Amino acid sequence: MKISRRNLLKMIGAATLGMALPDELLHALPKEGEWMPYDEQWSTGICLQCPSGCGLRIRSVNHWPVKLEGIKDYPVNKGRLCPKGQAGLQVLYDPDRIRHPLRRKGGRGEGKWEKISWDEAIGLVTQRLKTLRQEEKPHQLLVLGGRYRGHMLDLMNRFMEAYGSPNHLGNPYRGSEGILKGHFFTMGERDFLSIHWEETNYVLSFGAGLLEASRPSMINLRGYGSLRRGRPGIRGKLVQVEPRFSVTASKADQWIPIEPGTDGALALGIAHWIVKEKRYDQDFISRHTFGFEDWKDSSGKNRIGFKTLVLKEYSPGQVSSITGIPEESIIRIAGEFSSHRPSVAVSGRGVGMQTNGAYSQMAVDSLNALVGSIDRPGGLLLQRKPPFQKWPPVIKDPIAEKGLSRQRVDGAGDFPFPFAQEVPYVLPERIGRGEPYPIDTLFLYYTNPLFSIPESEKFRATMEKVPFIVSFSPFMDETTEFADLVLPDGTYFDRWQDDSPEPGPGLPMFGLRSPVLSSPLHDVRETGDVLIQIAKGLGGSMARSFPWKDMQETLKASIRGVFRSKRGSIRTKDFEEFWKALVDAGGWWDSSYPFGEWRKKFDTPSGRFEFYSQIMERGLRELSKKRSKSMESILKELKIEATGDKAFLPHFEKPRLTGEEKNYPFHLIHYKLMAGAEGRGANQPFLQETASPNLQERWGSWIEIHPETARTMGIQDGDPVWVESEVGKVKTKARLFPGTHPKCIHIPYGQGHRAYGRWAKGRGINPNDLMVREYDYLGGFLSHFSTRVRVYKA
Amino acid sequence: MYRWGMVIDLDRCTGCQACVVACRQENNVPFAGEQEAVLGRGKFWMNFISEVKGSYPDVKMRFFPIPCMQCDHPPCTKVCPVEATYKNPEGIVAQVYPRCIGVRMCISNCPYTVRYFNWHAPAWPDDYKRGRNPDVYKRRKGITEKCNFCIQRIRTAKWKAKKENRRIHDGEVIPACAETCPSGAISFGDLNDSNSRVSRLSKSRRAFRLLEDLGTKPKVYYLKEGEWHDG
Amino acid sequence: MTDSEAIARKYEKVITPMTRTGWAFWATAIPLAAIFLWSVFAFGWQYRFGLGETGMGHPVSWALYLVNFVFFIGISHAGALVSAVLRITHAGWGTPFGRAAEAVTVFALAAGPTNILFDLGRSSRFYWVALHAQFKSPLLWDFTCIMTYFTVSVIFLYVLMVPDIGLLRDRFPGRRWLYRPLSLGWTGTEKQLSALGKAIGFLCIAVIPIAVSVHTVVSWVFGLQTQPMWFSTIFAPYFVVGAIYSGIAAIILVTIALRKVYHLEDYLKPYHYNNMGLLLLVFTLLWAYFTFAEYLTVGYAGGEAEHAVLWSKLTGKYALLFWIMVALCFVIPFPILVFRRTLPGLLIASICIIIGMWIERYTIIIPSFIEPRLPYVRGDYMPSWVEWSMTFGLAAGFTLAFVLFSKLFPVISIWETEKDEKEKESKGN
Ligand SMILES: Nc1nc2c(c(=O)[nH]1)N[C@H]1C(S)=C(S)[C@@H](COP(=O)(O)OP(=O)(O)OC[C@H]3O[C@@H](n4cnc5c(=O)[nH]c(N)nc54)[C@H](O)[C@@H]3O)O[C@H]1N2
Ligand SMILES: Nc1nc2c(c(=O)[nH]1)N[C@H]1C(S)=C(S)[C@@H](COP(=O)(O)OP(=O)(O)OC[C@H]3O[C@@H](n4cnc5c(=O)[nH]c(N)nc54)[C@H](O)[C@@H]3O)O[C@H]1N2
Ligand code: SF4
Ligand code: SF4
Ligand code: SF4
Ligand code: SF4
Ligand code: SF4
Ligand SMILES: [Mo]
Repeated sequence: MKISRRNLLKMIGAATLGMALPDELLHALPKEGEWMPYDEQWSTGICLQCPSGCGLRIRSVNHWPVKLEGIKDYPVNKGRLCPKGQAGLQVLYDPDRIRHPLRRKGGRGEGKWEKISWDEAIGLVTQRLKTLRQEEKPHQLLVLGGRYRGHMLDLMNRFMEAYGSPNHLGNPYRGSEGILKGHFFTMGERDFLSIHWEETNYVLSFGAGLLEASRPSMINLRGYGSLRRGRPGIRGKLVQVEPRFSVTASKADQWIPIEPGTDGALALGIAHWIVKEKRYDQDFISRHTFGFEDWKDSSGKNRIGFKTLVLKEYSPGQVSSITGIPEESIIRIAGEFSSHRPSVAVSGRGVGMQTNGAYSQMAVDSLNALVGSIDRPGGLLLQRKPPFQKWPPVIKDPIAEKGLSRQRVDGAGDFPFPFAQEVPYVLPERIGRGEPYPIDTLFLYYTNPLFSIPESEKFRATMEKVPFIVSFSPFMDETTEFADLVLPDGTYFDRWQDDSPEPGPGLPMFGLRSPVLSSPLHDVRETGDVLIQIAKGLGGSMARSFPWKDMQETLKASIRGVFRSKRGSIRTKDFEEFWKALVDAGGWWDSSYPFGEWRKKFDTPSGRFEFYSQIMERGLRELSKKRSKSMESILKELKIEATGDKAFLPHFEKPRLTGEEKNYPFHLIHYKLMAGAEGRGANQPFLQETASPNLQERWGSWIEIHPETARTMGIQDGDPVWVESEVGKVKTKARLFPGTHPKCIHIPYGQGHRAYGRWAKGRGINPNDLMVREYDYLGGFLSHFSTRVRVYKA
Repeated sequence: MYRWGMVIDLDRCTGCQACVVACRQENNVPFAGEQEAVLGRGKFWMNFISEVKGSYPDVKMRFFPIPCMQCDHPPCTKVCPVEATYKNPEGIVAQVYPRCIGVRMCISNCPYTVRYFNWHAPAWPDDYKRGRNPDVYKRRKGITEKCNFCIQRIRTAKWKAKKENRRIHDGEVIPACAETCPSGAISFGDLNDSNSRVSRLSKSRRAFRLLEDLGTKPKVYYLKEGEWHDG
Repeated sequence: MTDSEAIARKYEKVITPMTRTGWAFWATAIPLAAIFLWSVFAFGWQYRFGLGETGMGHPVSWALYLVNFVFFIGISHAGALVSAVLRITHAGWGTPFGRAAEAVTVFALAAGPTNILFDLGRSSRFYWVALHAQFKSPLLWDFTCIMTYFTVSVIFLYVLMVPDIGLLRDRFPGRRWLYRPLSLGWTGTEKQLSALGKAIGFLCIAVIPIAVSVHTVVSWVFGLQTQPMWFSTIFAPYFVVGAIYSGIAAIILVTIALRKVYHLEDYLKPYHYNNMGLLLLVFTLLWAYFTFAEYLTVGYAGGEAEHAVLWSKLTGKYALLFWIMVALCFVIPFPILVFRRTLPGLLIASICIIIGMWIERYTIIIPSFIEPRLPYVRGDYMPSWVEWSMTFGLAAGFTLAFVLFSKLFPVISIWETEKDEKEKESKGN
């Protein structure tokens, strides 16, 4: 604490006064134990501290929310909340929330702002966008979005379409695309899938942070309870494969430490045994899968099937030398997994977000196909959608049409990221070079790239090149600090928004957020409303594309479809009644999950689960045609080692790491804590003060290092250390943790903010300051686990 | 007469600590802040303790959520010189905040280390003040506080039951920690009612209590972790 | 009876300090007063901002104040107890120590419980202990015993001073306002003398069990708790022995200081100190015996929790402090007391013992908190500036009180010395 003389005098004065005054005068009224009558109300909402989207019952006293509980029958959380959910009111009441629109006064990032009115702020944006369109440069509007929920994504998409920009980087799945890509290649599925915990007997988890993070957090937390003690007489088994001894590993019945990046090989080794021993679900394989056996294509050429590949290349012996797992263990897991059905295999970011992530995820998915655990009780659930009413088509004028036909600024969907939906990571280079064209205006919605993307310093430099930046964040995060204009959104307690959990419990459902306070806590507006207003201000086709007054009306338009379907938890005669019931219940769901709709759900060329991914093959063939290069060279350019049919089958690719082992001996593993909420949790003292289970650390960062390794380096528990990679270095304290692989170090993610309010700023370290940008080009996403580092005493 | 008790199933517990945060929000337990937390001044009526043993790859970790055990023979109450803490007729070891003078002998004599002291005046940022539970007594600096099984919720349930002229049903009173626990690890109820969930679970073969040999007779039971059997 | 004039001349050395106040006095008193006042400020600070200004926390919820509490109460045993025992056993050699010992008792007893006041979360409500007393609490027994001991000690000191005050009343007309009421009209008549004798006899007998009880219940504040290594049956005698041990060392230290400063070599003779040294030796052995017994029992038969604390003291975090304590309380004083009961020897031994016994209290209290029964909750403790301020403030206050006392009252009982001499003479005849 810094003590100035003035303060010291004050404190001395206070101390002296303190002695003179009796306690009563020092403690403000009301006195202890005094009970005042109050007004109590309960309302509903949806949590958004993570993608699980749990239903909230909000207890308010004299209008002010005081406690959050779960909605009792909400299918995701069934009345429960995780620690982040419980801490939610600290998001609402955060003293550092942005309280009104702000316009930058000083230089960028200087932190000098002036308050402006909403009319003025919206006017500024509208004017800018209007000019851009007049100059026929609508494509120079770039939107970086993040945590879209429900129709908010559609609204922004619609805005961009009507406006005429292809540059919407708004994938809400950012950070876990690897998992999605695996699902996509094998099943054509675009959603995350959750486990049908109620009936599963055996969960084989490849690095899924089932009890710490994972999607969907809450379903997994609840599911774990029911796996263990939910059914009398049946106690399911959980096996955790992970290089790090995580909470999930500690609570699993068995922990299988593995060499990082080799999970795909393990999955295939397990598959090898199951195939060899003929323990797979023959019926499912023959009726609902493609590419298991060797096959002939339309030209009559012999093609290799999954069976041949795994039998040849992934015997337990071969896999053992890749993964460092003893053969017996591989065989035992394979035996248990195939004989304790329903069994299910899942994965987490540590598997999917590697340079070989898409293939590893395909391998994990293959295990589920082998035991027929997809869309079956006790297996993976394929998400069903509620019967929303589609909005009328977007009205696009010629300017918009032209803008939309331009190449995307991030090059997603094209070489070298043929399957990517978005690649924000390359923006620094692209925008930096003005390639393929400069960007004029950037919207930031619910994402904070200066914190959450590796090498954020580069990103900052890029942003300098963008003349006008608008942020919609309610919090002064790193990126918002860099904006020119802030149009503060409310928090997830302050808006009308539908919400579909990612993934949900399979059955069709959605939740509904509604403002908990009759008027917002501060002079903020929900971004949906603001977008609609801007669109109206732009006039013409833009205005006509948004025929609704505000977000609430927009939602009603979609939800009317659900009302009309006359199914599910709410059935009423007229829509207003439906709406009221919906707001009261916090959501709608239809509890009947129709198992076994493989034909309908597998969106692949064969309509089956594809061991051999025809989606991948077709995509790459197109690319090779477009670039007039042979398939072989395309594969090489995408840094895929495999050739021929193997490239389209789940197989193991050696993970690519950055940094010579000689100079950077440690593999950097970062992970999420249950009490961390991505980059968003650090401003909540209750979460900051919750202990990390393994080391009882609170309020900060540390690295975990193997005790023996540390000893040889002369590092003791608690010593300050530098961690350095090829792209950066950070200083923190070392904690010796026996659950660390001797050649890895762990860093929990979520701290290291340079902004984001008093409790987040300047606390701890951010692994993104160390991480290099390396990709799974095929999947089209950043590998989060390809960085090598060195550690030395500070 | 009710005799409130709790059962925590360690086989279900995921270590998520939702119980820890829920308790703080329900009972207006302020956060301590980094400096204070380092000194162990964080107040966790529901605390979370853990232990890691072994070396890679044979590592084990155990953890417990640990509220006040509401001992039937509480060592903490008898040492208080001013009787600011006592066992109430329903077995809850309650704290009379206005009476407490802060000698902390109760703290040092709680073998479970689950009593917490207000080392400083509770500090709520102004914006958070609106979010406090009005049913919970305010605490001031210099006094001791602890888990009281969410006595305010019990009180509310009793009023309601009384109005309806009946006993409280099993599962009607749910403390904040039990209500939120995602994996359903915490059960709460009347140990005197032999049909209640807690009575049944407390007689489970997996049931044990912490430091049982001290004779404190905790009313918080734990169920130990199970094993997976092949076959 | 000789007239006051003659006695005053005879005991000039004893009386002079009360009349002459040189630079040495101010050089001592002013810094002491400054330290004391600083501690008052520190207390105000703590009172205003809360006990959080100390280094305590969870699970170390009692610390330096409790150490000081036990320590000062220990010192207080010097006095009344030792002097009463010596009187009852008619050990004439103890007379010159009596007054100093009784004064030490009173001041230490004032200092000791003050620590509890510091330690209260709501110090201003200390009297609730009386108002809402719950007698099941060992703290209440403490409160009761200490209050009784304090009262009796003050009476004891005072009653034994009355004849001397009578003398002073006649010698210092300027201070009559003080001495006159205090002297209770003492003139030294036979009747007064016999009444005094009876009172002293009664007080001597009463003070012994009270003193023993005080440290017994102080030990029980810890010994009746479930903390590992507190829960011990020999805590009571162990604490009493430790208390007397440190108390005797305190008397030796105080009287050696007085002897030097006020030139009392005529009254405090080496042979007196030799005897005191022997007494101290007895307690050195007793202390070592109890300590050994205590640690052996824990080491041999203790449970896991006890062992955790034990090893933290023997080889762990507290090993340094622990072994310093053993050195200061036994290894150093023991040979000195066996072979060299000279004044410098005793001085060194006493200083060692006093510091050692303070550390003993520290190592009894803190490590048990750091290693509580449940093997998961861990903590650390480092005293803050407030606690150190108050510790030094108390030590300063204690010393200052004694210095002031020595300026107002004779530190050696004149009338008793005179009486002893007479008795000796009459025996010699
Ligand atoms: N509490 C909490 N829950 C969350 C979130 C949150 O912020 N907090 N965020 C949500 C979001 S957006 C997402 S995307 C999900 C992510 O959920 P997960 O993917 O489950 O979790 P992460 O911690 O991001 O993933 C990293 C994990 O992979 C492990 N790992 C690293 N390398 C390897 C490897 O080579 N093999 C294996 N098998 N494991 C490896 C690490 O030990 C670490 O546990 O969580 C969601 N749920
Ligand atoms: N090193 C490392 N990097 C990671 C990860 C990792 O595990 N390790 N995880 C990755 C993963 S899985 C993901 S999903 C990404 C997430 O990274 P981001 O997409 O950046 O998401 P968040 O960190 O959750 O922060 C979103 C921002 O939204 C703003 N915000 C908060 N509430 C609201 C609101 O109500 N309305 C609006 N409009 N804005 C709001 C806040 O300013 C916040 O900074 O991070 C990725 N980055
Ligand atoms: S799981 Fe996610 S959505 Fe559910 S309560 Fe926790 S943070 Fe909120
Ligand atoms: S909320 Fe439940 S599962 Fe989570 S730590 Fe507490 S008891 Fe365990
Ligand atoms: S656990 Fe501690 S505080 Fe709770 S009743 Fe038992 S002794 Fe008292
Ligand atoms: S801190 Fe309060 S409750 Fe505890 S012993 Fe002291 S007065 Fe009693
Ligand atoms: S019972 Fe209530 S007071 Fe006790 S730990 Fe649970 S939530 Fe906290
Ligand atoms: Mo994510």
